Amino acid sequence: MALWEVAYRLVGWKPWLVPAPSHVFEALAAMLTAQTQFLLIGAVFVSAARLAVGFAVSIVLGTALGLVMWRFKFVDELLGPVFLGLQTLPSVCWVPLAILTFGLSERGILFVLVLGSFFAVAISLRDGLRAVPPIYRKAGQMLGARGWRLYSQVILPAAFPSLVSSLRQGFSFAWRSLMGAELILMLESRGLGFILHQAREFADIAQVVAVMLVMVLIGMTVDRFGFALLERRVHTRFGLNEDH
Amino acid sequence: MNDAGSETPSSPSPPPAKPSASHRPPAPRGRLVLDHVHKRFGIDGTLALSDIDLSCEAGEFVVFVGPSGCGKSTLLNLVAGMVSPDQGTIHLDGQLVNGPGPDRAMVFQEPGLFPWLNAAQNIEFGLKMANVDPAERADRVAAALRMVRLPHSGKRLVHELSGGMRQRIAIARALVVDPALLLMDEPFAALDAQTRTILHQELQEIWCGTNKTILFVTHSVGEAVRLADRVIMLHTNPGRIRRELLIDLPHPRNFDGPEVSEIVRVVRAEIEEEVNRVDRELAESHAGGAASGHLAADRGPVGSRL
Repeated sequence: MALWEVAYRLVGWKPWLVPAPSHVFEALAAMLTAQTQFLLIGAVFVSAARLAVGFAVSIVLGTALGLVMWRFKFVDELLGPVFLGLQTLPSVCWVPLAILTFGLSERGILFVLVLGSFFAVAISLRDGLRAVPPIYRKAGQMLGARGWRLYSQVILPAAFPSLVSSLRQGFSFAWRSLMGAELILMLESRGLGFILHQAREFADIAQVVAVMLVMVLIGMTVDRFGFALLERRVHTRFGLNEDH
Repeated sequence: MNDAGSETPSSPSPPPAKPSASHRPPAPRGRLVLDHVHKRFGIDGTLALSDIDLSCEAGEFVVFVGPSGCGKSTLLNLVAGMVSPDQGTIHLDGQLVNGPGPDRAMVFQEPGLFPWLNAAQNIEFGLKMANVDPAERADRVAAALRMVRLPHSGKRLVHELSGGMRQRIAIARALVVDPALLLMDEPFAALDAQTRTILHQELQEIWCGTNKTILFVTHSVGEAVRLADRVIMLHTNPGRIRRELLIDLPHPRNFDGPEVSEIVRVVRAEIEEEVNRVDRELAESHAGGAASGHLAADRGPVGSRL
């Protein structure tokens, strides 16, 4: 950060081409104290609400699909390559389809978010379930667990560590998809992506970088302090930590 | 040589009936009958077990020994209902075995405890599946923990337990549901010698106390002779019963006593002969080929480990 500031001053970049950290923080402060028309806090809440709804849908769909793909081999063989292919498609590429199908609406944003993330949840859940050691299933059956209870009390808990990892991965996909969708699909209720776009329209490069910084911070915070902690707790419980 | 109960009245020697049953209460259940069981495996249909005809009395401790690949574990999996026989039937107390069930509990070489549950919850699992009410569950779990001498370890997580403790919890988990039959598939193979001896003693005590029928698979002759009422030696390729041996020594046994050592010596010699026979046959069938040397080398450690 200091190097960036020093380099800026030494090279003498134009502030409208490359901002200095000090400019970025000024812009950040301005947005936080509502000195501009872009309310950062409000935008964060709008985006967070969309993320919550979209990610929830994505978890439900992804879990269901992952379970079906794991349980029925023909579904996996039929759909697996398709989903793997679609997974390589950057999520913003769903935006034009979303606009044509749903118009400029909340549903369009949700559509992009869900499609951008639920394959990841499904595929990593399927892989996690596949990796469950067969001894657990055998032990469960031996102890009288069958049908639904074999799945809910043995297979799913056994897959829990990979379940958490699949959610973690799904979240990062969901967050990226949401930002992309908001950047293009501009709605009345303004999310972070919208603010980023507006900053560009106003050629306010400090603000552009500031909003990007906020996006990174939110994504990282959820990942490091949400999922990573959960993951560590699960791993401790299962005795999967390196130090054991 | 198949059925231990088929002694002839003319025999001058004491009948080879259950020698140790006299000082133990008769077991009301756990009589197992295998009737001409065949099992094939793989795409080429290799015969894993051929014409296994066997009956185990209620409360009997039967140990299967034999070289690797003789189908010992397959036999247990058949009785457990994890796999079904291609021919023949298995009956437990007159009931046809058809799929896994809580009347046949199993202890595996890997304990297979559930790492998301603590020790007590692992033991409780089978009772939960059987819809036993919570108060009774707690009592039975506590009793099971006492039985395996871990009364205060219920709250421990699986990875906090030593190998021997894990196997004790696995035994408790299997016995707490009060099965008619306890199946043990090389349960102590991964443990060190000291822990194994301690667990042999404990298992003997548990067996004397609960009077379960136990089917135990091992490749260790010493282990077999220490524990068994009857040792069944299996042939390899295809797996079938080669010989049965009644171990007419009272329980609990002195594992280091001369009687145990003598029987171990005899059984070991027979099994080595069996391993050599298999090697010879393989060498003949791949005469001169490089594969025979490779296979024979593979089997070397089996004989030396016995």
